[in-house]
Amino acid sequence: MSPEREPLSTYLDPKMIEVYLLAHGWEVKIRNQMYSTWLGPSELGRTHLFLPFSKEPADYEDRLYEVVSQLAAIERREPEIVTTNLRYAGADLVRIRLVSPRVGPGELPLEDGRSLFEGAWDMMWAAACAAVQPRANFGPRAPGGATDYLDGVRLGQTERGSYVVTVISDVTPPDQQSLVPDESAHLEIPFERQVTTRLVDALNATHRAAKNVIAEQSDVGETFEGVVEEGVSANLCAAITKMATEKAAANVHIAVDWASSRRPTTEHRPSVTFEPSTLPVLEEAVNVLRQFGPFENEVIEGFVIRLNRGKEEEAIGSIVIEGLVQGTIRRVHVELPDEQYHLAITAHEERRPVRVRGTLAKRGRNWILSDLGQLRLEEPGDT
Amino acid sequence: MDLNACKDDYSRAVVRAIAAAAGVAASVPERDQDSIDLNLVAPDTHDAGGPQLDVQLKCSQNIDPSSDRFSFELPVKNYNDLRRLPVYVPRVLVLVHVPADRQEWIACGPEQMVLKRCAYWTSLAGEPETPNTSTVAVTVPTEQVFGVEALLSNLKRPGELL
Repeated sequence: MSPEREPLSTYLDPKMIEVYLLAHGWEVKIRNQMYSTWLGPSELGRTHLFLPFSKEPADYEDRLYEVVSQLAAIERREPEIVTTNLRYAGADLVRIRLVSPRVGPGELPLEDGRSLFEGAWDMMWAAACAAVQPRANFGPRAPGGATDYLDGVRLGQTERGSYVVTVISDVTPPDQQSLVPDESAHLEIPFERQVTTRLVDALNATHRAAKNVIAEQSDVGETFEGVVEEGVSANLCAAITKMATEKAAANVHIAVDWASSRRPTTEHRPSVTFEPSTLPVLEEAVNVLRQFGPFENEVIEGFVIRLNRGKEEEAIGSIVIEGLVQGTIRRVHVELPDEQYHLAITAHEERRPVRVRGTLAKRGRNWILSDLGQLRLEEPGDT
Repeated sequence: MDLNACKDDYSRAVVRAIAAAAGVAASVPERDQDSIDLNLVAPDTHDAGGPQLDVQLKCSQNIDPSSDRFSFELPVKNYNDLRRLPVYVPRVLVLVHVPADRQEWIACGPEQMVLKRCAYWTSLAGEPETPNTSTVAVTVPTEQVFGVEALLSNLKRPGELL
């Protein structure tokens, strides 16, 4: 018999349990104001389950415990994990598990614990930034949407099983009448789901890239640059190596349990394991990807070599400046508002050099200058 | 082993044996609380979950079955837990009467095994509140013997009594 603990009813909501059951193929047989009864899917043995709604009966708590223990037996999981999954059925759960000789069941060295928790935060931060806009490297300031998201992310109870950290990412449920997720829910994906989707995609891409480098001896820079658009960044790679820690040399297993209230939004496997052999590759990828910026307060001086604006009435035009930046001649793409675009046209026509300050970063194959200051026309012969 | 612990184990064994003979599963509740000692659950049928019964167990040498009823002093907490309504699953009190001498509790032979002396049941559902602070005198009819038949008749589908 389990020791006395906080009542399940303080954090298990029967409505969320219903969402969970529906998402896992259970069929409702009876439903009224006091309870519902369910029939499990055939692959789980067509078992019946009783779910109480009302707290009024004296044995409400006992019946809730039975729900958890039944599901634990059917799913072959620890009751603790089932309870977490039911409690957070409306959230995507990101579980990070370390496996290493230094990690005992339910314990690990304090130093490794600090790295694990910091790395978990860094990983979610990287995923949130990449969900706004994929980049090779993110500076210290996260985009606004990412910061708001991170304010709402919570840490759950650690679970047994080596050492498991659980990150809870709530997902806004679709606006719908019935409990069954409908197809149209895919059309509007809330940002928090975009983050966890991006995380899964990026983790798969990172692992794939690392394995390619090891197996085919391919270039780290080229291989990892190729997966930046999938959400891979220096920040993400650094987070994974931080969690593994050099001393622990752990297998880092990261898995996402999708919220029951929304269907998965990626085809990729929701779990990835980074073996110790991948860590040196990731460390190298960190260094390479950091070379892609962003670098704040950079100045480029050069000539406008390309102008591009679609329709007349569009407010933004894009130009390419070929010039000196960071001591190197580069072609840098710049988006300009209307009045500055006209200056760029003048510079191009009169073959006059231009100068502009901004944040330089590599995106895909192109160098981009953003967060711009004023574009200035220089006198001919000034560069 | 302490006598109370022996009585506890023995009464559980008696009820488990009766449940097994009835084809009903007996398990210790997941939640550690004082008033229910065993959950009894019959197998699911094709169209519904199996009926259930929650049991509070007591064991006593001081029962006189010679008249049509006897009295038992039940702790107030157990009384209040067993009398509360509504419940999803019915609750009964099962009292196992044992001989004073532990050596006489069980007799084993090649033809039969005898468990002494008898288990009785009663339901306290809906009983009035009590001003008592220690125990409540509960009356149990001696005709209410707890065996396979009584077990099966007390089983109910969860929610059926609401």
